[in-house]
Amino acid sequence: MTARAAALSLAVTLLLAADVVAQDPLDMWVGKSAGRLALSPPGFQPGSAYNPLFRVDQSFLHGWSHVNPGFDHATSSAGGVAPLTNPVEIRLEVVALDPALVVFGPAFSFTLDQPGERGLLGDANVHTHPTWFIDEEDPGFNPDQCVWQGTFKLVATAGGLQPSQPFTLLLTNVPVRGGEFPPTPTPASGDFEEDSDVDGEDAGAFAACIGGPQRRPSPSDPAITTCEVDCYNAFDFDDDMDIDLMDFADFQMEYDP
Amino acid sequence: MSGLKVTLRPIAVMGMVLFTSPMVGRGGPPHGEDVVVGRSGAGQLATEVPVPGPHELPPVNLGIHGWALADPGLLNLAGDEPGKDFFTLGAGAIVNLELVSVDPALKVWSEGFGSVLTAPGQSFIVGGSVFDYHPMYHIDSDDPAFDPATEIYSVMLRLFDSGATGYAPSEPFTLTFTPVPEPATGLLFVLGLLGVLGPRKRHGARRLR
Repeated sequence: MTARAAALSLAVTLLLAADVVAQDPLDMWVGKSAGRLALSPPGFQPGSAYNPLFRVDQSFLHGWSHVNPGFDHATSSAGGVAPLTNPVEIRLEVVALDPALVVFGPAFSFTLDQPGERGLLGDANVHTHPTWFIDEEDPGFNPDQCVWQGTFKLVATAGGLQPSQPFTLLLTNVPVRGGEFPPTPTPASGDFEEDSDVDGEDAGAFAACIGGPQRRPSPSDPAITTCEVDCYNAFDFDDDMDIDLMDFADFQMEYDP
Repeated sequence: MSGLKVTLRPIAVMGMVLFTSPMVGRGGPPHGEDVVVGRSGAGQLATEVPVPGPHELPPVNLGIHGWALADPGLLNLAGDEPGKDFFTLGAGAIVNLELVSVDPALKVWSEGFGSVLTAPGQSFIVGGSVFDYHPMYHIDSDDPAFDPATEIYSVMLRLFDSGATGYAPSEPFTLTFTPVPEPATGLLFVLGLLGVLGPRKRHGARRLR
């Protein structure tokens, strides 16, 4: 009885001593659903935003890189995705990568640049940040490109879980609205020209960007922009990765010729 | 012969576990080892360092050389703990990591390798009021000051706020690191392999005779 009381006291003490920490909503939270690895909805959902990379010029790296989004573990069930239990080993597998896009494991523990390559992320308590890197010195680097796509899946090499559904990250080397470091939520303004008004020239840019619902913008007018992130920054008022009539309604509210 | 097996097999297992555990750990620990960042009621940045070290750094040999790991990270406190005078950061904070002192050949890289701290006073931003930041700690075997006899490397860091909240800088905190596999661990691994493979070869040779 004394031992149980002591154990209980110790447990309570440890519980009180533990700091309150949270999973980072900018990371992808890994769990399981229906026998498969899955990403839990409260975490970052790939494709729901552009992930900005930042300029890096070191002797061994020239290009743009960053470590977000990382991978964290789901700690409670949400959206049909339950936390993982050990034993399980989770690996990131490349399905497809745009040329010049490379993924480094933490502290270069692995390098992924070809479909089928895998790198270890961790176990049921996974919490890791790969480095997403656009290699400016890669022969396949296209200076006119502004969004690099990487499609991946999570595979379990122990634990009997099936691979996750493939997911695609949208990595960019141009500034993303609100994506500076540290991130600062910033609403769209409609001011494409960034001249502190929303006028006819911005309306022309809106026309070049609008592509309809559930389709990423694909502007093709070099005189305005060929970079979809520019469209997102100025005109995606509802942050749903498209420029549609919902955004037009908001643009009209801002329009002042 | 069987006595040798009995003696060496546990050493083999122990050696291989010791040798491989840092690699398994490369996926990174859960948040338990991250440095938690908050503030005091008086408005000073504060840290809790669950595991000061020594943290084991696995070998790295791609672009940079030596040993490196991106843990422990820096994580914001998610809920006030008044009993510990430990509170969450307010909106507008911009938390910077500053190097106070560091042992030769130890470097602290920013996420994405945009910056590196090698000398006192150097700093980089780790986040606002919410962050989960993982600098990379790197023992640089290419550094002229690198001494292979050094077993423990130490870095003293502190945090300061360059944002609108204007929190006072934190007290310095120290993290220590050790390169793995250490020579002794590698030797244990080799001895372990000999323990497993050696008796089998001899057993096979006896059969051949």
